[in-house]
Amino acid sequence: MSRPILETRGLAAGYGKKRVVQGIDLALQDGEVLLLLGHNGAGKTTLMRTIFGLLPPQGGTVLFDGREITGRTPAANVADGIAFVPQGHGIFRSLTVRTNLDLGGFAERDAAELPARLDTVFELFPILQERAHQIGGTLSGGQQQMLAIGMALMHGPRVLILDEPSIGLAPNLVERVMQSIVTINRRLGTSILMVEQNVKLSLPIASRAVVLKTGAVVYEGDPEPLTDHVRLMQLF
Amino acid sequence: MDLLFQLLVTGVINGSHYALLGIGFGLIFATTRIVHFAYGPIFTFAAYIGWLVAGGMGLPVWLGLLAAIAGAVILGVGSYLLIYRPLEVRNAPVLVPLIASLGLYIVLENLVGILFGSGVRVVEDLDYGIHFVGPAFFTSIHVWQVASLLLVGGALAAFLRWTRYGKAILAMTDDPEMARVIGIDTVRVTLLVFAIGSAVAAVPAVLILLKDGASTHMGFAAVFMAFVAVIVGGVGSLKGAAAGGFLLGLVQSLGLWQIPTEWQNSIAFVLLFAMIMLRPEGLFGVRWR
Amino acid sequence: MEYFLHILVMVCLYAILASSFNLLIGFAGLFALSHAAFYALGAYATAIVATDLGLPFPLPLLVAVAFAAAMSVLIALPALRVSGHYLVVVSLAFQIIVLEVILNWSALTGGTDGISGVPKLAFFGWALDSPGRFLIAAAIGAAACLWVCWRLAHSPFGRALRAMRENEAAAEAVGKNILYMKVTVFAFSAGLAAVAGALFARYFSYVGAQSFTIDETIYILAMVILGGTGNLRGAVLGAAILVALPEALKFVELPVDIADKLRLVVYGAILIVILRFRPQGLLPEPQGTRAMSLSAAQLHGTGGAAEGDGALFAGSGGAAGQVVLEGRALRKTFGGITAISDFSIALQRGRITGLIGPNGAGKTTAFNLLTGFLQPDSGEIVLRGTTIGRRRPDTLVAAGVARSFQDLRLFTRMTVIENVLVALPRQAGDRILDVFFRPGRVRAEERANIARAMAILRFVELDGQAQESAENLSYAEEKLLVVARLLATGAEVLLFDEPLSGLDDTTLREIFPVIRRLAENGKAVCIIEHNLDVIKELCDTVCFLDEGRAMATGTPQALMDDPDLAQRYFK
Repeated sequence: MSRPILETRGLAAGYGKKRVVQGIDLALQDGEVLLLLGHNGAGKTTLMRTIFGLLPPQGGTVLFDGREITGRTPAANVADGIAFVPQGHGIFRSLTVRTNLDLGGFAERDAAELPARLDTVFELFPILQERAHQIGGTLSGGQQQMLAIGMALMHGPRVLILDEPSIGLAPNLVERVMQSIVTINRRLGTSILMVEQNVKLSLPIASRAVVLKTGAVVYEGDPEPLTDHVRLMQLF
Repeated sequence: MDLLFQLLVTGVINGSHYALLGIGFGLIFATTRIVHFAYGPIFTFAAYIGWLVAGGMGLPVWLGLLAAIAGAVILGVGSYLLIYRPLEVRNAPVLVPLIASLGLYIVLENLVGILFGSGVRVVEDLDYGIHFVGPAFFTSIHVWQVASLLLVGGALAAFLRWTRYGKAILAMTDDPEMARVIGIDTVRVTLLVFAIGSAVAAVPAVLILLKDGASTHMGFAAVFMAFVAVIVGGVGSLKGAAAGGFLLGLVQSLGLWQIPTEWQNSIAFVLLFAMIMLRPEGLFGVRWR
Repeated sequence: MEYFLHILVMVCLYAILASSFNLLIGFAGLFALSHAAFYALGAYATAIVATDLGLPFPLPLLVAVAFAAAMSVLIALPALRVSGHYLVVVSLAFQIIVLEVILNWSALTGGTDGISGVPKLAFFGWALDSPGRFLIAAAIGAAACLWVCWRLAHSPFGRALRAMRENEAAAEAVGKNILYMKVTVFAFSAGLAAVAGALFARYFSYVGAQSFTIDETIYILAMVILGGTGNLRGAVLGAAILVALPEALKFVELPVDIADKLRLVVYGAILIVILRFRPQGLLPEPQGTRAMSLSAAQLHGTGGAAEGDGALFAGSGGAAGQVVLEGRALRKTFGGITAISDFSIALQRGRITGLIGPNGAGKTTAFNLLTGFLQPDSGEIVLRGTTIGRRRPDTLVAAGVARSFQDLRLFTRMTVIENVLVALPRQAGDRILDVFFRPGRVRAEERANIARAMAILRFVELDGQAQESAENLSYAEEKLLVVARLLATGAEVLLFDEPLSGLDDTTLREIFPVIRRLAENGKAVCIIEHNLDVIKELCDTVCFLDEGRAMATGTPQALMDDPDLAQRYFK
């Protein structure tokens, strides 16, 4: 039995007095792809931002590799091996692809690691190498998403948190992005915690799935039963 | 025609001055979104420190410049740490730092007057050449004003483009939240930006000291012209701040062809107004969404 | 004694300046740095009209006020189109221009010499030529100006100003004409500053440019911040302190030049210290009834009669099921990306329509189109059978279409009842002329409005918190206040953008009946919602939106059982 690399215990989160997430227990096993589903406003993004340290938690704890990291700054989390790709455009849109990738490795103390990682990213997403000197904001939506994931990989993270990587992408691109997530998971051994709306294309790549509703877990386990969409709709 | 040529030369010289001011102010504004009015009196302070060293103590001008830069950096970083940072921690609305900076502006401006007296301070016995190009003339100091823009602007551009922290500044200008996501310590970057921005202001300050002398109220025009240059050029763009300043200098100077000299500020105002109405994102600004 | 009276005169002048500046920055939230310029316009206009033209007393004052107000409108119209930092820089530029014109148009203004020999005021041969005598005029002037500020700030218009300061789009969404309000308050602020300028010219018999620099604006700003933004008493207190304080410095032996600079250093330091340690100022902004011209007794006197919902919904009659608002073949693109293409929807009286669809389907854009926050590229919007053209959101609210926002946008620094009051339609008190010239009508209407607002609060069961500041509400109560505010607009079509998101199950069940009763009482309700439980519980009809189009319309159950739509919903 593998042990969890990232874990929340009774994590509560929200903005000010608005409590969005109440007491969530979540465990990301080392090496798995955990899919987090739920309708808009169910609290998925808030949960991710709180785990990563962009929002102060309102209660509970977060553990990484068995150590408590509750309320730590994003900078410390990044340095420790957790990377986050926020929803929408997780890139700097006025800067070139190459500068974005360089910035992705900002927190890396060992600069000697970076060229190899850059090669890995270019191998995963050859289009980024082709477009290295293009301004990020002028890339297509799919390329921007690849760049965002590529930036996160420049840290050499052990855990990758993805907040709706498929948002705003055409179905064939979503498939492409999901494929690269599988590759990252298999080849680099990165554990992945992913929030998604696109159930059809994200379920097949998930090791396990969790459904969140009004700030609480309503389903946890095998992704297979959720492929029945009408049944899933009842859960939403 | 000769007059027009001379005005063009003057425009380039004054434009370089405004461009440098705009670059320093714009760097701080774009990265932190703080309207740092105290930039004006810090500029004045730098000029007086330069005068103290080069004029008062009779040391070489380059030492005066170094002292001016050091003084400006201390004041700039100090304003962030003592004034703006506590407001930022409290999550104060955007207007609060702006009002605080007006307070700081008036404190520093009058402190200059109290410390150095209100007369104009000049560095005596300066030996500089006068050059002629066709019908137009200019002095070595004018040459330095243009050269300093090229040097400082070039160095800054290279720093932003090639160094780790330079890129971090660009990142924070683009999207502060995203900068945190990739692990940038935004407070450290802000301190750096205040240091660099203030240091940049010290250069035109010392050159103005050599050219016209230092006077206690020159900070207001400096920060106002810098602000206008940034808005005209486009917030968040180094190139824009430089171009905005340059345009401002040229328009003011060429305006003199037909308009009496005392209306210079009004010309700047018309340029600003036209820009805000016609192209609010500025010359080099971008409108994302 | 003379000296003491002189200080009192100056306090009067600065009380006018600080209060009028407070109207602009404290109440309306418009941060302009040109107050000293309007002060200068008033002083110079008075000096020129009284000295060069030699016109008798009330005329120079009237010219000064009218001129400053007119200039402010001229500058406000373009400057207020932009906001925030742009307004700061434009107003600063205006301040500089005014001084430059004063210094350079020597023929008119005397240039650097200024204008001296402005005639002293005299009434029936009694000249106001000493500080003691002038104090009478200054005090009367200050009292009149403060009364104007007071009346304006504490009227429904002032309430709308504060709402605009809290959130501009939300103020527009409850039917306020933002541009009218901004221009009006700017003109008042400038006109009042001109009164101070006129007094200045008469008192010193001299006007010179050095009295009206940017430092003067910062000085007045310091008074407002010290006293408390949004509090008129505070502005007067701030003026009194900052005029008197430097006089204390005079007892220390210092060269005049240094003392003058030290005085300014002290102002700046006070500004910084206040912002750091007491940002609300010495006298914080009043909350609730004290901010309005009504008493607590008035508020509770209305609590007796238990009215049914009927009174609340008067005018929303008509047959249920009748289409009230219709969007036909709407289309909207943003820079080549089509957000809405060929979208049609019909909202019926007495029905709740749900708008669902995957993320990015265009739901909020559809709302923006139906409520005038965006204009469609093509297609038409039909309200009660009539096609409506380009309309501003506030006029659409008046016509009967109102919307809420996903992120609530409550007026947080106002009380619960004020949030509702400000949304009530067609208030005479929103019109500045009525505030001053028909006070009786405004007062009577306000009493009726308070009763109405309380009835609305009872409807959502927030009447117990009427006097509470909106920022102290729980999240669920905030959601209820959004409903109350929307109901208050009197609009027949109510569009809610995720009114229930982020609430737990128990709270949801408590709020359902409130929304249902809106429809039962004849409103046409439309809600965007992601929680499908909510859709099932509440909606009569559901419109499934995807790719900017209404893919299907039907009962909630039918849509959710449709495997095709389920596929779409999860992509």
